[in-house]
Amino acid sequence: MAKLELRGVTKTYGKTVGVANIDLTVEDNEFFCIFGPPSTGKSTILRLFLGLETPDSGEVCIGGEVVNGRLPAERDLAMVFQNLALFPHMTAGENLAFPLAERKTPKAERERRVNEVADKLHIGPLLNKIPAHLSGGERQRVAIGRALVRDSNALLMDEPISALDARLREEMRVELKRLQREMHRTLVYVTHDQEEAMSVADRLCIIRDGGIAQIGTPQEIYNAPNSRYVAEVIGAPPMNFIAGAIGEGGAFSADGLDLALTFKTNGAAGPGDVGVRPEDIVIEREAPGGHAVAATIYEVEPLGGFTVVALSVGDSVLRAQITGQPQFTLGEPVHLSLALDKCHLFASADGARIATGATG
Amino acid sequence: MSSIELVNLTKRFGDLVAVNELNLEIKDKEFVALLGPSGCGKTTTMNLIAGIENPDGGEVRFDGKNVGSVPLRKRGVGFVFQNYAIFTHMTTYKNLSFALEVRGLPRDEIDRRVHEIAKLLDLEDRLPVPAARLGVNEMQRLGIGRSAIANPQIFLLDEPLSNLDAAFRAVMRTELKHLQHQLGQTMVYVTHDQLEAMTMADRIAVMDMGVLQQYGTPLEVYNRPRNLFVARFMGSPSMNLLYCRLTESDGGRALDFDESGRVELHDEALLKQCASARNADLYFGMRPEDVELSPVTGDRGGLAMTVTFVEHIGARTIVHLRSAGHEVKAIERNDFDVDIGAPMEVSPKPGAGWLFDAATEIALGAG
Repeated sequence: MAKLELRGVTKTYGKTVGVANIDLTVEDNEFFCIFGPPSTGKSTILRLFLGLETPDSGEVCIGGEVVNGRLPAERDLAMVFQNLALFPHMTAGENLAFPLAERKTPKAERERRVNEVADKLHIGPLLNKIPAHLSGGERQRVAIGRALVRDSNALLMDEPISALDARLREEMRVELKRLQREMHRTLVYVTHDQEEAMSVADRLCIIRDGGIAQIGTPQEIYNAPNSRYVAEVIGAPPMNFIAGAIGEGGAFSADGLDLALTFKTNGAAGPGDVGVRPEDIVIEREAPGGHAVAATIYEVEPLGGFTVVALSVGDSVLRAQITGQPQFTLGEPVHLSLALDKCHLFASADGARIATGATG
Repeated sequence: MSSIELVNLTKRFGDLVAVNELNLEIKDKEFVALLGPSGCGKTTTMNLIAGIENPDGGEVRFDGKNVGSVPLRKRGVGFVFQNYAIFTHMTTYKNLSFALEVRGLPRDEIDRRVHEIAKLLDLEDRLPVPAARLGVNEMQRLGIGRSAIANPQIFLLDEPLSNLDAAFRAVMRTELKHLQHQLGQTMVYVTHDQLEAMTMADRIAVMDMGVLQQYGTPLEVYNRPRNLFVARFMGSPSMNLLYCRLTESDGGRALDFDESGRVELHDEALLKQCASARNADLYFGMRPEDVELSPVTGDRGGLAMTVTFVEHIGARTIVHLRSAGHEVKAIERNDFDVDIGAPMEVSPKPGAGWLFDAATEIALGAG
């Protein structure tokens, strides 16, 4: 297993920028997740590592060595695609053994490795079946197994479970994380599903328009997004934003709302947005005083264990996430207050985070 | 007035019974979700309501009248499909106004309604743009707008949000529900996503293999699942279902989980459920948010389990636990932390827990 790096890599396709001057390091044995909306450059990063694309500038490194000139076959990386290309005429076992057979691994060793991987993936009983007789989830396991069966510098996966249904995806992401831990592999994993990314990643890299928006642990990114963009794409329901103006001394006043908060802004001023996560809004029926804001109930979305309440505040709608199954009537007047220490302040101009934590 | 009644509705495709003796009553202005896995018969049911398919048995009634002989065009239903059929060469405005122009509405009335719906769907800026240039999210909103603008009394939607990205889907769920409240249409919504059904519907019809499993409000279906299928299908992560045996001794009733431990039954709701048990083989159901985790003391009589995995996903933390033969997922707060491999005592929170007959898969006391 090896460390993977991109050093100042740019790749353009005609006038379209794939990735622009990217620096990133995937540590040895790390579960590194690349997250972003469709066509932001996620897959380009994988293709650069694999050698399927040549960078316009910059260095691609595997295990500390620059591999720009090396052919894909010489890079020794294993890949799992979203469209799992299993050989339809081979059994699951033969599919698993294929990368070993290709490398002329002795038969006994081949069998040992196939059985080991099949065991880890719980697909032992399926080895004699052909792909057509397997379910979607089982086929996916075989495809992942085929990438795991031989030692390689690293594993690369491009949306490997996005075609499965929701329930199966929840199970598979836990399986993948377990496998990566047990087998000590470096894994670069591309997904557009923020919950999946949060769940599996040791570190998360958020891509925006071919550049890196933020790299950090899922907790760091969730609790301290460095920009409004990152705050918007991580977390569901998404973070709420309240537009307003940042004045002298860090006083924020919301547009059209009776809400005044103070942040430590180090002199930054101008238009700003306060961001607050749905779970950091408290709804109260009685006016609690202080910094509470008057609101009315817009819609109520019960989810069983928790409830998402959409609130009409001024001209905008904010979402609060409340534990349990509270009852509200549509149009009911309520008061909402914000968990001040969890409020973020972003500059409207460039979306950069100015501060986290307010005083009332 | 536009209520819908399905009476013993049956539809076969060759040997396959797609919809089997379905009885369902949808009230005027009600938002009903038809929910189930692929192949459960939900889309066929919607096609029968619309008149795209004809039933092999039973009736579809609108306001009490059998519409069996009324063709698709005359049923007065609006449709939104997963694959939005948009005229891509026309502007957004034209796509919206089209249905009203066909009906010969006055120009200022058309203009007013186009702007009204465009505002509701956040498409006002995009009105002059050719639809081909819209993003996926905008295209989907336009699809909804185009059907909604004609103000049909019955609105049928087949997985209309499934192509949208997650953050936007959350916003659209609220907006769609709000739209329905404002327009006062009867809405039938087909989805395989329990979260969509929970958040939007007034009532949910859970289907499996062409058969109605349960019909009730989101919280009824979530809180009192009638059988194991519904219990598993609703909620994310789904309900923990642990095989156990009901035992009786001098000390009272208890659930025996073999090597994982025993739970003595003191909880009134559970004792009441037990009273209708016909055999001792049961499943004990516990929602992930109703699981209480505590350090092992040995005297509380919970299940002894080991933490196998911890998922921090934003506002919630999902803790995975395992023991010999049982698995449990628990939902904890954002800041909860525990080491993998740590032993834990697992018990239901007071008042939480459901029992199902292991043979019939029906909830005890569900009748």
